[in-house]
Amino acid sequence: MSQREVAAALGVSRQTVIAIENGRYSPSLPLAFRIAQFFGSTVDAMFDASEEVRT
Amino acid sequence: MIMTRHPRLRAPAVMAIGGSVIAAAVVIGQGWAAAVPVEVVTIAAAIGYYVLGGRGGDLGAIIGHRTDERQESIRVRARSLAAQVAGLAALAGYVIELARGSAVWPFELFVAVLAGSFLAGLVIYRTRGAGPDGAHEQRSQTIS
Repeated sequence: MSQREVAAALGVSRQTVIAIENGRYSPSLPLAFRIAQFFGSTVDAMFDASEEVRT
Repeated sequence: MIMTRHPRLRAPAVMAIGGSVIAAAVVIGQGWAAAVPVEVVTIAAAIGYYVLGGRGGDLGAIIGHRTDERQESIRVRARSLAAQVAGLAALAGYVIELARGSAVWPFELFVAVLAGSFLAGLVIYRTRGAGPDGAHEQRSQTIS
């Protein structure tokens, strides 16, 4: 599945998908839930709270 | 805020109207000849913004008002930086004009408006309970 397809399904830009993948952006809670739902997983399984986002 | 069915037109429209108001002021103060370059620059800037707003990437999305939550947060932070720099510039201008013994009321007015709007923002957004991106977040929730 391409980043473009994931972005379209989540209603965000491809750049945002890349930023989340690279740990440069922490999604909002609603978006985090959408991501988890999209991949059939849970938020805490998808995101590691101990990881700090580089801003 | 100007609301259009085409969000890409919003920034160029604001720019065109703002520039035309300035051009009108120049006509009143200095005549038509001085206003023509102002209007030409305004139109060129509005067209440039329209073109940029159609491009892909973060910049195009922000200028074209097609942002997602990350791009919206970039826009908010950029506006915050611009407001801080404008405030500092006004403060610097105030100090310089004060030292020169010139009229300082435009700088006082600007700083007062800036401080007043900051306080108003604190009151409004504190009670709304949303982040700097509150309106956008509500939109995102509607999508899902």
